Amino acid sequence: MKKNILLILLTLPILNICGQTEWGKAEKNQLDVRVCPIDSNAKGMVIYDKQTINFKIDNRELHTYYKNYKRIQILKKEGFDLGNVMITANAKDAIFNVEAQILNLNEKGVVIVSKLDAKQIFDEKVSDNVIAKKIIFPNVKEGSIIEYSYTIKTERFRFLNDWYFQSDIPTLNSTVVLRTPYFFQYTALLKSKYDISDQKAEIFTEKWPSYFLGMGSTGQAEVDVQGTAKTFTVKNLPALEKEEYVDCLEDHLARIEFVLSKRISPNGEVTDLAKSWSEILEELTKDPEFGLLLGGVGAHIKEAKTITENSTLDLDKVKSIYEHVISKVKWDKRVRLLPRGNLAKIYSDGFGSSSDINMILVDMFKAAGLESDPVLIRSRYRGKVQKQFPDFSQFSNLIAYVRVDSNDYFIDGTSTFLPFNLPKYNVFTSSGLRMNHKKVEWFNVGTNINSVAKIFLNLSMNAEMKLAGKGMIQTTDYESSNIRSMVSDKGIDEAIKELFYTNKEVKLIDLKADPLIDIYKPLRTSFTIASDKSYSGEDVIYINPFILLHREENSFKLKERTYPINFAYPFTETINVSFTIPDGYKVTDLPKSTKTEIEGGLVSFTFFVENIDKVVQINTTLTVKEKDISSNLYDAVKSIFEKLQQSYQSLIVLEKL
Amino acid sequence: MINKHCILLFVFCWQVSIVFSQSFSVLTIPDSLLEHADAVVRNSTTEIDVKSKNSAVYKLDATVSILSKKGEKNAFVQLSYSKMMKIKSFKGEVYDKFGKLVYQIGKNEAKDYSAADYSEITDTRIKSWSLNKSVLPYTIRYVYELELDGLFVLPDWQPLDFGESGQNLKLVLSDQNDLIKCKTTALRNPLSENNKKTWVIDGIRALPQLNELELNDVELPEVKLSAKVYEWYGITGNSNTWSEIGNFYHSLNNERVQVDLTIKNEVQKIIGNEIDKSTIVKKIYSHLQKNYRYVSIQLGLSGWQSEFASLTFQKKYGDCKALTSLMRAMLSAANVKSYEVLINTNISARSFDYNFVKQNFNHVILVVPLENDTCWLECTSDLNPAGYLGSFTESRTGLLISETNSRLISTPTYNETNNKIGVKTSLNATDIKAQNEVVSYISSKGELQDDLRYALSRLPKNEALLFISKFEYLKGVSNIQRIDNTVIDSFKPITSFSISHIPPNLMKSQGSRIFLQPSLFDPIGNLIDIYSDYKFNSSIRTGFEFTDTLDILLPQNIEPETNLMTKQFLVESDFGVFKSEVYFDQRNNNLQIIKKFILKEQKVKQPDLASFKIFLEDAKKKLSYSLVFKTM
Repeated sequence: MKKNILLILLTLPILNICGQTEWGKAEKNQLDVRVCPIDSNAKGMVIYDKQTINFKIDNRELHTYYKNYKRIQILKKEGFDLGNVMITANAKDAIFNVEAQILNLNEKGVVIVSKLDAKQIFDEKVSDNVIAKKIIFPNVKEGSIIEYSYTIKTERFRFLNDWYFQSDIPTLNSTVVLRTPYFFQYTALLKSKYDISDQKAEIFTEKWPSYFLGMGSTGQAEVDVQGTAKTFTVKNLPALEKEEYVDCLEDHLARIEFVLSKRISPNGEVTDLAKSWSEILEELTKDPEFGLLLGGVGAHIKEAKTITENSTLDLDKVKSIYEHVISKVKWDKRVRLLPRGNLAKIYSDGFGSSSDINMILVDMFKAAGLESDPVLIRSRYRGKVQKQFPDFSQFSNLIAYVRVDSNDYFIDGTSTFLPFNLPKYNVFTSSGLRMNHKKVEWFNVGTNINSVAKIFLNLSMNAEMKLAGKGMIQTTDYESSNIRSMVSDKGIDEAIKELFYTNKEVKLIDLKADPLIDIYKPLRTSFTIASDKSYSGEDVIYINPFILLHREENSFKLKERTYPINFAYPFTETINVSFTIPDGYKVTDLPKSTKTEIEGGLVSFTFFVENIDKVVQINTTLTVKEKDISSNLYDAVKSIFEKLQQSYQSLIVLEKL
Repeated sequence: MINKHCILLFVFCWQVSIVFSQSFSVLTIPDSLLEHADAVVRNSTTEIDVKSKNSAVYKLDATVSILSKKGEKNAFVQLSYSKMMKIKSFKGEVYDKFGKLVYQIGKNEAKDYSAADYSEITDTRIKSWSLNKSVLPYTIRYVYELELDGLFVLPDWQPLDFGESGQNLKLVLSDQNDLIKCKTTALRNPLSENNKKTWVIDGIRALPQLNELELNDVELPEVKLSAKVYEWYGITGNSNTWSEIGNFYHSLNNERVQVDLTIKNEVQKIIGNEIDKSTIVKKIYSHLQKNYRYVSIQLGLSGWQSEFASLTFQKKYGDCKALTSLMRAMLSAANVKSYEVLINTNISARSFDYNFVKQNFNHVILVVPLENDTCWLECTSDLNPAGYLGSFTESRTGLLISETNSRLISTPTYNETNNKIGVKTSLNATDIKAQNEVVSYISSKGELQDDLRYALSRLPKNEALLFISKFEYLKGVSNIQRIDNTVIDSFKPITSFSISHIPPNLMKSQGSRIFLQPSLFDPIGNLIDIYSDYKFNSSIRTGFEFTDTLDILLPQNIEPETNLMTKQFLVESDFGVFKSEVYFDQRNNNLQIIKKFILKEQKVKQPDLASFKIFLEDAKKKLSYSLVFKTM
């Protein structure tokens, strides 16, 4: 407790010092700060980050203006790169009024403000869709404060840009102000583990063109319009540290989203602007460039009928069509939501984007008499779908849905090595919307199929007292497809080297895998174990039987993790070792069996050891039953993975008789 | 000048073709061209029409059959462009394995993006076309035309890579004014007619792909091209001699190094009354590293011309040219003479072609001749100590820039005499039952400390810990708990630190015996993995010396049961040495084990590969052993 009081006493003055947020103003002692009050290791900190959003008419068009001001302090030499700033926007938008300056102390301890000239602010067309302004701050030192302001103007106003309170360095104060005239009503959705420390609403009045409000007949060019400025502030946010097993890190940054939900006319009439998902689906299914592409004619329709005419089971039809399409139409690595055009032509060309291929699948399933529709999905790196904000632009990809015998299947024809019932786990988020105008239907397109990876090791000592034996890796589902895909790219030796970890004392030779095309069968990879290390003449021998591992180290290292663990799919990993004790030796020490689990077996680890006659049997099993695990369970999961790693260090101790 | 981050911008696809036959079917490729081939370059022609010293047209018509995933790199065509090089036309076609046209793409359908990354500023852009539009195998054809507004950076003709066979490949060079010089490798002399030279090759079989350290001793067909006279943003240069290339750089940059009063005053503050030149260099370089940052800015002529030193001095950032010019200016203000040295960071000294003069550099460093020494300075690094270059520019041939005598010069080579890691671990094992956390003190030198220096200086603690646990020269270490005692030497390439770790198998007691496995680190296993499937002449790129000293204080009244003499090893070969020594001081219960492994930097010829591998295997076997002690 005393420590805590001391920490508060020590950091309070710094927090006060850092409180100066006025453009161009800083006290001398603020520039002396070298340690972030909420993270002593930080290379820099955001002192203040503010965005004001308002709306204006330009050239008779409504525009949204994002006015930004950001102040960052550089704390260590490693933070000098924070002096290189890139502001990006959609290529259709404009970035303007860019101003930047740096605050430093001169030799006499006086605060000097140096404004950047235009030559230090560079325009860049990053790609066809993105523009940028790059600011290269000069004279960056430890203690420097850099600050910059700019405005982004866009014609988009329904879905406003998300405001991120948090970033990869600590943030002391992050504020967003939404200034809306009375006739716009936005819904705010806060996604933050950190509380809003300051929230207020203030009434303002501003001029608007009368014609825009349908009041042109009043004869006035402009009329006074009342509005509300809503302010949201979050303070003292730590940097978000990245760790393995996360779906989309940005999704876990504290942020707020705004969506225009209602418009109110001068006479008080309220129009609900939000389209429903039902309306969106109606439009999409009747769009000639999208939904109406289905149900056409062409070679793929004929082929669907031909290859399924002898199938009596619907699931066989699905399988046949899927296998035909993945071998006939090559995925060109593009992820698209909209197909490029006529599906028969794409089929005939033999290549296509994700959308092209999956629309062909749907069309062929339908032609074979199956219930099928596209399912709209969102790329994983873009974060989760916001179901409460109906908007087509939330999606970026589609897969095929087919219903057979009351079972739902989600099919993605862009992978050569996945069975039809396993969509790619690492590409899209789990929520998908069925593209069918009759009913709004959301699916969880992720799978709960448990993928298994088993390692079998049959070890003994050969005549030269070297470790030897046979082994096999047997995998199912995603675990199989990972190996198949890697073997196809790099060959079996390289694939096993990359996906598994071998003890340096042994070599795996004569690696052989089942045929890669048998994607519906478990994959077996067999090998011979050889070692150059001889224990000949040793009185006591230590053997680490874990010569092949699923994972080399504990991926969980953070002291605290504020976002959930995403394992991508449920899995079971086992290692079964059977070690034959060499003649003339006895076992003098063995590790002990243990079992650990959390939440009724959500994640569990068992370690079983048994010695019967001349054989030592050691089995480990790691089971993860759910792919998503709450951050509340982080410590428990971390501890289980730690135990797993410790078990891999176990030794069989043999002593000469 | 191109900085280290954008070297790739000037890489082109130089396969060439001619349309002898319009068969695009993969089925018509002769069997002889399929062996080892991931792709077959067919019927391809490059035409270079040099119109003047500041104008040329470059045309390529290439047909490539792609046979495997590895060969599919050919299906992604990327062309960089800028004010000095414009893309006039592009057309791409894809044919399935039977030769049926399945896809066409034009110039305007390219993806267009900036060549800059987050903190770079450049006016070079890239257009890319993806021609991977058919199931393997398939054939692509692409035709494009470039307009070059200068001959300064003229690409060589290298129609084939490893893993590619060739059929009817042709280079046509039209050089009305005799501005281009050529050097031909693995090709017949060209047919010459009216200032037009034509090289033709046919039926070239694919050479197998090489591993990273296998050496390219078999020559692939190549025509090196260089302009004798060129113009770059209105400035004329010659490349008949290395000196002329140096003169060009000197004329562009010399006035940029002028020293003004502010620089002079600052330098005076930095050096005070110091008169020793070596110390002056170190002080000024250290000041540069602490106060300036590397930012790459490549706009127009600035790709080759430095910012004024006075401006870099004010801004406190710059690219390799700017930081080097400023450093030179500051040294000049301290009456220390220094020279820029142009480097190609991609080409080692071994493969540098001294006899073919060509502008082929992409980086600049500084050299300071001192009375008894030469001090090399990498001005873009804020980590390297003065005088140390690191793996990015060591062992290169550079062009020293001088007003009157620009010349080739070699940068230092770091080998086993410079690259060292020493580990010292002490363990008090008098309480054998305790779970022993062990502290190992690690001192790294030369190239072996480059990455450690970066990790310990720049990475967050968690990431640094992870980096060290995977560091190839410290393999075998596990369960690292902490890193402490980090010392980054500012004046020498030495980085020291300690790790607290729990070695799982180091020590175990059972009854009256103590069992030891005194092998905490394994610098050899990784080498065995690397060279295991090498078949051709290979290189030991980084020679090094590794010393591991382990001191263990054992319980009293203990004696070795293992005959310690059987654990003294010496393995010697032309490739290096492995030595293991065990000392036991019974009176003080002190056991000391010293292992030393030296790998000599060299080229390993194919016939010697087997004995090299045996040396590694033999050393590895003797690296790990067990010792047993017994209570008396």
